[in-house]
Amino acid sequence: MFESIIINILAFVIIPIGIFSLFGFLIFYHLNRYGLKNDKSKKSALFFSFVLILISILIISLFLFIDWNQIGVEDFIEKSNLELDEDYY
Amino acid sequence: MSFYKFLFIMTKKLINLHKNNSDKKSKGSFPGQHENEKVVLVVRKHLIILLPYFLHIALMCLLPILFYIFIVPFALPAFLEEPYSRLFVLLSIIYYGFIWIIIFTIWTDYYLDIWIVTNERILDIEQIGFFNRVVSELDLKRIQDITSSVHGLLPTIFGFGNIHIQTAAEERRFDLKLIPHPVTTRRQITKLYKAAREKDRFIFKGDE
Repeated sequence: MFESIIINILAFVIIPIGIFSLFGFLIFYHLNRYGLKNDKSKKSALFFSFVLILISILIISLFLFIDWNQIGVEDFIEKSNLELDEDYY
Repeated sequence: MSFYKFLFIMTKKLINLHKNNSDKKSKGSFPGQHENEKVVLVVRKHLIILLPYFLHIALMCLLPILFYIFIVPFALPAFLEEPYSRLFVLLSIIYYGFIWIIIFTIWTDYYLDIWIVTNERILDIEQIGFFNRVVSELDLKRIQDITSSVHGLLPTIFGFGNIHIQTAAEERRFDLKLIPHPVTTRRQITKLYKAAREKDRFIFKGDE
């Protein structure tokens, strides 16, 4: 139970937001460092970061909003009327 | 002074202020600029080159919606019920976050690929991904030949093309690729080249 929550946090929160932060930093840095003075690069860098932060907040809120105890692979397969190929396993 | 006259003068001043600001914005300045160097042109590739990227991104944005409408009800109906519908929304938001990053990666690459034409030189700044940046510069006085070319239907309709600049010292040609208004830009560079040569001649005569 505890392990599955950690895996969910990693998969749906830490890894995506970590990747967002890394690329966000790279894009923000480049637009600020190499953009010409008095042009739109700084504004666009701010806009980009603002939207990325909003998306991250949305991810965290949705993650908290989901009841993870109700989610399971077997339950999902059952509700989707899927059949597992037992030979495969 | 009447109120209307005051209003007229203030409006004119505001318009002039806006004009000056927009002039400054359009020309800009860059790191490593010489003391008396003026930025005359800042040239980027034509926006039309972003069209294929735009179409790809639009298709990528539609994918989760199409998946939800056409595939989920038949193949994965669990996504229509709680709590899996929320999980689907969460996955979609993560997906759109990555698309947002892709959009800005493309934008950064486009925006930082730039040619700066000053009254002294031409700077070619090429941004390749995040970790490759090539900056080369060409002294206006070393130009031997400038050629502008517009090839094909789309370049003719949308008015973009290439400018090739042949330098005196090297075999290598300096290329401004897929830029808007290549003919006008070529004329402006030619004018600047002539002005730089005149200035050089004037200084040389002054020394004598």
